[in-house]
Amino acid sequence: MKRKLYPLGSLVLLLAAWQLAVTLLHTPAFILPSPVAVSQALVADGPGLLQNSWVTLYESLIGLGIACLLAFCTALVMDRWQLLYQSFYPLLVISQTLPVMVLGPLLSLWFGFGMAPKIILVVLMSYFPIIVAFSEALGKVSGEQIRFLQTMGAKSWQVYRLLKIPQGMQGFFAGLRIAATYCVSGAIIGEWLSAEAGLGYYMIRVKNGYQIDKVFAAILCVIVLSLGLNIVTRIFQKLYYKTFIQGRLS
Amino acid sequence: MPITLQNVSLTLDKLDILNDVTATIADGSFVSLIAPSGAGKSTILKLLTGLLTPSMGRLAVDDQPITGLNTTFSYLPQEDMLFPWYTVDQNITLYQRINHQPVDQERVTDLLTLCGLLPYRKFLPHQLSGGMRQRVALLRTMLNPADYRLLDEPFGALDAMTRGLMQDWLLGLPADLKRTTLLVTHDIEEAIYLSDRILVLSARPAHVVQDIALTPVTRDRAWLATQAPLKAEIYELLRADCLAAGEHL
Repeated sequence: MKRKLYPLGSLVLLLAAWQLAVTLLHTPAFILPSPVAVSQALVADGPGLLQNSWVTLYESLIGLGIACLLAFCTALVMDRWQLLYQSFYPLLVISQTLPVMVLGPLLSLWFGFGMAPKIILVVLMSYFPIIVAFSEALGKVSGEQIRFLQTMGAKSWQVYRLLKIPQGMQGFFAGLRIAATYCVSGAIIGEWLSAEAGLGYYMIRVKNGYQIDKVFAAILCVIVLSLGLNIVTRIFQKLYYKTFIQGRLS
Repeated sequence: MPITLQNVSLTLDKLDILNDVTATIADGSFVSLIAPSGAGKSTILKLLTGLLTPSMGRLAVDDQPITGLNTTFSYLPQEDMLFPWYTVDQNITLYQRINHQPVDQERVTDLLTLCGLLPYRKFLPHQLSGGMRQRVALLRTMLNPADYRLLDEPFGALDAMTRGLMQDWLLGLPADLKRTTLLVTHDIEEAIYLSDRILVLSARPAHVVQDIALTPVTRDRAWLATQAPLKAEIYELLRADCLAAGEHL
């Protein structure tokens, strides 16, 4: 309990310092609004923020879902056929150095101004952390454990079902937790470039009107979404082992 | 259906591990392999399971040569190899699930009771003590219907008390659970207590230096206490061999 109270206490202190600084220094609201002003904006524009948050969340979830499926399948295929792993894995690692957001304008050009380019951007941002973590976890499964299963007559697919996938999923979920945080950013960047709804679109619109308190309110929504997805991922991880792995065999 | 090793030699990375090992393990017997550390005891089990291939010689079960990875043996490696995401129940019935064989729940329950694991059947391995984990691993080996068991230092990581209890437990198994067993151990007392025969191997490259038969009327701790001279004899044998090989005990 104490461990949870410490960061909460720090946050309250930081907010108090921020409020105090803005009040004492008479900082203009269009430069840095106070926490009180931000929370007032959050309440005042609540329905609009909620509507735009839903759009961003929808894009993020669809993109994250596609990225999960793609990463899961490609990592398994690469692990099963090592030639593919040796051919493509180094490229995947190198490709992580590319800031995906630079592809935004190209994606708009190729896929229009609808939801597709935003979802693709989310997929690209989420896919790499998941596949890298999952591939590495699959590669770390001990050869001795595999051979042990084989001495009991396990076929290749059973080695995956009983050992490699359950063990590799720890890496998968570690990657997913990172991706769950990235995916909201992916959707926001997509919305910055071209959109008619979503938190990114909302931020650009209110920024152009110098309503910085609303920009901060939108940032707060982004934080809540990212944090929420991260928590949901952890819940999924627990459920996966409890119900899917242990439930399936019992 | 005996297990036979005929003039088996193994060289790995230019290192001679085994040199002309010849032995026959009779059907239904409990045989221990004892040797100085690093002599290649576990290697013999790996050769039998097909994880390794001999450089020379022949391994066979009932005169059928062993070639490559096989499922003839129920094998317990040095590590317990319990899968951390499966419960005790799921770990011990792994063989049945792999081979799509029905699980006799009544028998499983009886065995769990016998091993004192019944209250823990839904537990995950990390929730168990070292001794309990080892019993789960042994139980998994017992539930494998193979006619031969290969146990690679199954109690090596346990404290003296738990190891003693585990040895008693293994010795007290009901007849229908007993199989032809080849046990690798570095514990001379354990080998004497559990075995019908002890094969003493030399330091690397290992070969059989002594074949000791044990036929006690009653096998218990009191009998074991009377075997101090045999223990000293085996110890001296191993010590002399280590010194001759330039190692120090």
